[in-house]
Amino acid sequence: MSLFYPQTLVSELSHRDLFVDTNTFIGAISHPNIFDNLFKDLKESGCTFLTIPSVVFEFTRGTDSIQDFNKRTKFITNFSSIYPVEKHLEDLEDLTVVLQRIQGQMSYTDFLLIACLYKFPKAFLISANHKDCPLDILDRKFIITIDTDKDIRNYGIYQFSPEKFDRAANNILKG
Amino acid sequence: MNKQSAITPAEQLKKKLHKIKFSEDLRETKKDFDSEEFVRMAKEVRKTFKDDELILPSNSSF
Repeated sequence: MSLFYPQTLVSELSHRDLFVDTNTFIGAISHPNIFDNLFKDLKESGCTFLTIPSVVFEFTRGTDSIQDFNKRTKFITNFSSIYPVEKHLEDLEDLTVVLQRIQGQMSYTDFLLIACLYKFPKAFLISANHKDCPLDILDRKFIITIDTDKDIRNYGIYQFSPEKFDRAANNILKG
Repeated sequence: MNKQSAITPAEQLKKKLHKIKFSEDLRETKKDFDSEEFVRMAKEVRKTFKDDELILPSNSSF
């Protein structure tokens, strides 16, 4: 099992905020021995791991007992902070319209994660869900590849691009 | 006659559940990363998932 990522990844994410989506948490618990060195390096560089309440909801869905629910919530809260983005949804009309135009089938959780990038343009998002990380408004800064011997999986590190967003907004203004 | 206040089932449940605290300022309170603890907890959480819940869609295309 191997993990591949660019040498500059850790330094670029040093002292930055990294939002984590549901699939990345699932990948991490599926292959913790692959992820732990990377997470350790990122955390030691001052990178802050964050997620949002709806990711916690998705990650804890399907538990059969209180104990299992608690195991999952303790895992997430132990390794990331939970940012209550739902309390800060003001002034997102432009993002809403742009995303609905370029990615109409996006889930609400994915919208909220991109809203976090929009609100914190220096932050990053790690996601395996590339189709819902539109490059029309985001930059894919890095790719992390995991070879589990049974599967090869790619995780993207995304960041909001104000320039791309302006172009997308302009396209809507033009009608 | 003293009226004893009974704890409701919802209150009982709330007491048993791990509290999910939110962070408004984007700064986490715990900065240290313990690899052993991460791997241990991840493996425990892994057991709470059914195998088909861990199958993620192919993402070889962007």
